Amino acid sequence: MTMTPDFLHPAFGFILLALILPFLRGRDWWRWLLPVPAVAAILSVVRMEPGTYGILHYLDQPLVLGRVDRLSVIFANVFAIQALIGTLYAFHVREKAHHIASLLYVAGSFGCTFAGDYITLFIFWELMSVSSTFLIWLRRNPLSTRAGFRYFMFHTVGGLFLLAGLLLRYHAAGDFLFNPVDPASAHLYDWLIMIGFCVNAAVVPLHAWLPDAYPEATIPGAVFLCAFTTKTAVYVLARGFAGFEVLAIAGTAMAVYGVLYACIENDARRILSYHIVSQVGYMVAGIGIGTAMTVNGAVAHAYAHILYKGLLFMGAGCLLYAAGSSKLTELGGLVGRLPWVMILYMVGAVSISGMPFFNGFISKNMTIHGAVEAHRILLAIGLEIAAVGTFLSVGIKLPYFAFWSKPTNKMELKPIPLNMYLAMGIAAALCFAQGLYPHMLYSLLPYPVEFHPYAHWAVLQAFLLLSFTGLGFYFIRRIIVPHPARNLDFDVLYRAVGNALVVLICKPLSLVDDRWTEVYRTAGLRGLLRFAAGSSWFDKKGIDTVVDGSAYTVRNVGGLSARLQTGRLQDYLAWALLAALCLFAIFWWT
Amino acid sequence: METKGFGHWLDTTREEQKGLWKVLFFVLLAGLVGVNLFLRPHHAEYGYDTIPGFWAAFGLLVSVLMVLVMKKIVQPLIERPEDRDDDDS
Repeated sequence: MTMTPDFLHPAFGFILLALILPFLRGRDWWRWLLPVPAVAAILSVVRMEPGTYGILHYLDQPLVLGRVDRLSVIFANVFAIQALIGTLYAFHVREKAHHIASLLYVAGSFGCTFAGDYITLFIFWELMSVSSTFLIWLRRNPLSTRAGFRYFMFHTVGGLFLLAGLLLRYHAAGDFLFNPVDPASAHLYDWLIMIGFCVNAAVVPLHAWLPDAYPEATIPGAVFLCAFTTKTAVYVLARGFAGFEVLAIAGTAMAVYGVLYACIENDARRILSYHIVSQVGYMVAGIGIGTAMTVNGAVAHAYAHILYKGLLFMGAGCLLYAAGSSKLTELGGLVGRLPWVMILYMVGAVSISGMPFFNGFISKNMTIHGAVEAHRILLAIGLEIAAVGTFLSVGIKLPYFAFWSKPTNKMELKPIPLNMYLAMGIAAALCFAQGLYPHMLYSLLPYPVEFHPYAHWAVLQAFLLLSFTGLGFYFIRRIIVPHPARNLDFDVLYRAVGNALVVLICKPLSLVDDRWTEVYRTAGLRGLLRFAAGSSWFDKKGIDTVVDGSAYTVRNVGGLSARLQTGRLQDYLAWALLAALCLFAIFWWT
Repeated sequence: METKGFGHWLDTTREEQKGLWKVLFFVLLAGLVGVNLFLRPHHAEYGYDTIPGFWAAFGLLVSVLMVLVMKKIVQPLIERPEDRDDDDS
């Protein structure tokens, strides 16, 4: 079952709270329950012993809900910590729907992390996809509604790749076990599964959903989104597809691609979104190279990344909350009025840039050093180029144009709730502590660590690279000035494909429909009329007396389902999710 | 709007001590390259990285080129009005 003395599934508390939250009365006392599942998850994860727990049988197949080993535990560890930080950051939100969405989203992520088979993985994968969509829609403006639809459509397509792969795999192999795939003997179904994973990991060119949707999410919603979807995908790639050469190349391409776009973007949260693509690139590249050091580096970087990227999104969220905009052209001159937001943001910024004494330094360099050791010099150079671009955009451009440039800003600022500062403070403290004590992170890694981050030369190299990037910024500071614009990305291609499909399907269908209407009008209608006359006679004589009673029942049921059918995809999704959860709960606990 | 405390210090130092910060920054750059003359990697990992100042030049060139190419060449080709997320309406 899901609970044994050694194993309490961390998703359990999140799902339970999400199910009871709608029934709790009162204005806001229930908010104090929100951190409980996250704290329970942290306690559960640190106490976990390796093993296999929670085995169910379905269609003669074992479903494994709790595969516990070093790889799953380290991801669950940081997911639990980030769930607590995100919950604190969202604590002032009084909208229950928002908390339910984030609880289910985090639960989905834990479910995927401990899944030992593809069926369990797929169920939680889709739970994440649906619940995260609500974190975008709940921003409640036309841009976020459209972005949420595109996000959901794209993830549905990604999920279908995964589903197709796991079904074909079942047909061939006869089971659903989720185990490492040997790159030398990968089948078509393995590739389909990997494409499904790559959609969520935002691997270029399947990435455009991320910088499209995340900047339109709610303020705390984006903090959750930036941590869980891509890193769950990194986890499953590390679990299943280490050593795939295509990932090594695609990852490096992502790392460079993301920073190139970030240096021309205007919206702070879109800049950070492109840097998710870039940073996840380091992880995907490390997984693709596939040595013990680079896989360690990828996992360490995922851990560090969740903390500092959450911190950066919280900082940008504070700007959006206080000033009402996260566009650099509308900000500036805020350093005197939001000094602590800037300081906390800068901790995240120097962490992501790999400055010594912060956690990005001890994780990023592990992957780069591993690439050099594996004689992948070109890949390592790509990753160094991305490191320069990261400090340029996140470390200098964004804070310079948001806080530093322009005279002191006179705009009205909404006061930032204390809980937002508290969440950022915890994240910043963790980024710094891990940088000072790498052992905090290294002791959790899946393979033994033979890497010393604080060699003298490595520290000097990092400072040289970063400070001369600063000099570069000084020279081009009048060219890099952001201006209001939206830059085309691969989403244009997705839309072209989508539109082509619509035309391809709709044209023949409407043709058939036209012809059918004509046939029906000439031949069908006359026949129907004759049939109706006959049955009307039978109806009057025989049936009326019997059926009247049931007609009322039918009408009442019809009325109820008409009320449920609001015609809005959001509502259908919410109902479908609720139904699926109930079914799953019944199945899980019986 | 009056700022106070730490924020006020940051706000005034960026205006009034601009020159001082600039000098400190250039001293830092020179110092780092100076240290690089003596402290170098034990063996070349990328071919030329035992030359002092290699990573300084790398950071400077990559950042300047990246911005020039993206802002001056690429962005004019791909930019659209902000707050428009659809092409076909």
